Amino acid sequence: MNEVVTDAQEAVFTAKRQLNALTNTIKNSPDEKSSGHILFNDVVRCVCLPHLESSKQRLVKINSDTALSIQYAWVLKKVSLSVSLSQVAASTTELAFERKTDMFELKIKTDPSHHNQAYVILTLRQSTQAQREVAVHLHCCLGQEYSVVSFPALSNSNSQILLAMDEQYFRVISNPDTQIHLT
Amino acid sequence: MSSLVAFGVSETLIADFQALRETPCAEGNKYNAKTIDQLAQYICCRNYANLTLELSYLNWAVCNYMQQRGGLLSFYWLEEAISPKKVRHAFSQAKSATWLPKNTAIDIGSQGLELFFGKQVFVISATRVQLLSAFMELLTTHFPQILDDTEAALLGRHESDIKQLASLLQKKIYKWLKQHLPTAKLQQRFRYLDNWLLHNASNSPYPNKIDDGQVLAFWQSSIHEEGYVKFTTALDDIVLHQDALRSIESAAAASYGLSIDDYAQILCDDHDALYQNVQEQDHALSAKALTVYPKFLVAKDFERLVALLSVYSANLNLPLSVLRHAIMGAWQGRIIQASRYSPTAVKQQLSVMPALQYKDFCAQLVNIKQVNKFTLLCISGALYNLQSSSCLSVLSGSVGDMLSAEQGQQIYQFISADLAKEEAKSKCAAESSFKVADAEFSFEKLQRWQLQQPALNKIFNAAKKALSKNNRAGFKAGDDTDEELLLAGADALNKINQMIDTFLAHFKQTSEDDADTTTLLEKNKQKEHQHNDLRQIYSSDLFIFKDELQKRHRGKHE
Repeated sequence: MNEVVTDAQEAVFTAKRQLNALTNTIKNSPDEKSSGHILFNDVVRCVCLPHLESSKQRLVKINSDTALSIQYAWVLKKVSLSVSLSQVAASTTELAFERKTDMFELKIKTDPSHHNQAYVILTLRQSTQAQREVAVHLHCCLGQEYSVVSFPALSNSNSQILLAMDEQYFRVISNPDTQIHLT
Repeated sequence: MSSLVAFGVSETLIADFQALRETPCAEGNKYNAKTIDQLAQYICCRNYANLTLELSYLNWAVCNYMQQRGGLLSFYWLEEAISPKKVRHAFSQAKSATWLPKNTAIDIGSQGLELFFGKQVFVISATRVQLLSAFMELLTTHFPQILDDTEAALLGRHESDIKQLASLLQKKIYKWLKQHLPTAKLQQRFRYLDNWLLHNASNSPYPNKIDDGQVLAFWQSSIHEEGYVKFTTALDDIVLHQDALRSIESAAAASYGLSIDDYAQILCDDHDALYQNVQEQDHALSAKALTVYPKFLVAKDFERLVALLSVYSANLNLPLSVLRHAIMGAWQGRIIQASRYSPTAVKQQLSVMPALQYKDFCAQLVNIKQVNKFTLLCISGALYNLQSSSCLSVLSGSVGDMLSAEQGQQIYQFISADLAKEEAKSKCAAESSFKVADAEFSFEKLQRWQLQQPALNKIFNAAKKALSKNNRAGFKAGDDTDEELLLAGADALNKINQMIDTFLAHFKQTSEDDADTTTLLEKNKQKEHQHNDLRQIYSSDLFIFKDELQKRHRGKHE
């Protein structure tokens, strides 16, 4: 047979072999869930729909992968409505009990009856429909690690949650070094 | 065995495509299965030059028109404006945009997006945007800086910048795919196989001449060859090898005046020609899409059919290899799994034997065929609900068991006569006893026939009843599945059933013509004989495979 025909046959063989792997993949092992693989779309969803269970799981993975957390930070920067940067004036040993940006205000008040608990009160100057009807999310970044603190839907521009002071969320939101994004 | 050796594709790329198929959006999946298959084809044939250019043009339009509305991030991900309808909506006001670069304009025309650069116009079909978006998704996942880079390169720029960006991007993709789609190992395997066939096939090693014995001999003699540990890989490679030549020959024959050598030369030089050639394969039968939406087949049945479909779609007559792929291949799979744990686990798997015998596999196929007939009946019911007259032709694949030959003939004659009365030119193909092919008739006419022919009415009632019982995706009440999708599914199921028949016919001892004359006792005897035959083949294969598998998998840890 002519060499060029064999070359062409080889090209078709190679392309089809590879195509089969991408179109008819039968998962290597049934326990291996493909949802573990993160596309850019998943990063965007993680930022925009942080309340979903799948987003919570993915955020753990994003935090452990530098390339993904860079993408996450990029998207967050694009979609965030307002940012409260690290509180430079405060000493890092103190807690930040008040933060203000052009769009939101965050106050932390310890519960007078339970000293190990604190109210976190969020006030928004303007709000979106989703914030009034569904929930408000604050994306917190402390030392390269992201977490999301969710508040119930606003009522009269306010929303509040009660956190135990030894809880991780409290440590993050009260830390003056934390960057807080409103989305 | 890593997927790089087996398929020449990295685990990452396989996972990317799997994830693309499952990418969620506000309603269901963001991309449909066909789009992702198409993208895979562009990538595997390295036919991405024009796709990259087209994407760059689209990105230019998005960047420049939507700069205030969040640009690329917003278009592809936040608004997900990728369906034809959403694309048209997103650009509906583009004509009056005053902020575009000088001498440029964007408009929505009948074809889709029209980009004007002075006198030049570039058109992007609205239906292509989903594919381009999936491509963008893949690129952004691997080159996240592409979003900033693209906006920087295209905002306020002209056509020459688009071309420049596309060519830069193309180089990046080339470099990236080198890692994820390495071809060297596959080429090596192809040459090895080609050479083996040339020297060992007793008859001509060209299409349709390979037999089951040669497939087995090839696998046995390739024990030390990288990539041929599994019997299934050996068979799949042989099928592809034969199919590649067949497709080149038929494509050359179809292009007027081209010799096979000339066509082969074009195919080697031109990625687009390769893409066209690969496209010719019958996607309907190999695509896993049949198990997604509408769910024509359950995934388990599809996996049982994989070997049969690949061998018989390539027009190869290798019935024993299909059995070996299904039964011995699965056994080997379990042994390979076990070899990851311990030598004892391997020994144990070797002693427990395959889970099924050959006769069980054939019984499974008979069962799948029955299920497919039921699905065809459901498709007919769904088409009936859509008031599509094609519900009648779909029925022909499924009603064989429900009508006597006489009834079928009677309905066929009745319909033919009725059609002939009005339109002498309507020709009814008499392929089956009950099929109206190419005949033009309205749904109203069908309803009248139903009133005149109670048997026909009964069948459509059965179809509607079957549909109401079917809970699979695409068949539920209110699913309103597209007519075209249903017809494509019916076509695929009919083809699958034909392949099952062709395959099973190898193991039948009597021809169908004798079936009526034989007594029940004789029939049972024949059935017994057929099973004995399969049992004998199974026993001798078991002996061969056990020996081979011991050689391959035992002693790795010892």
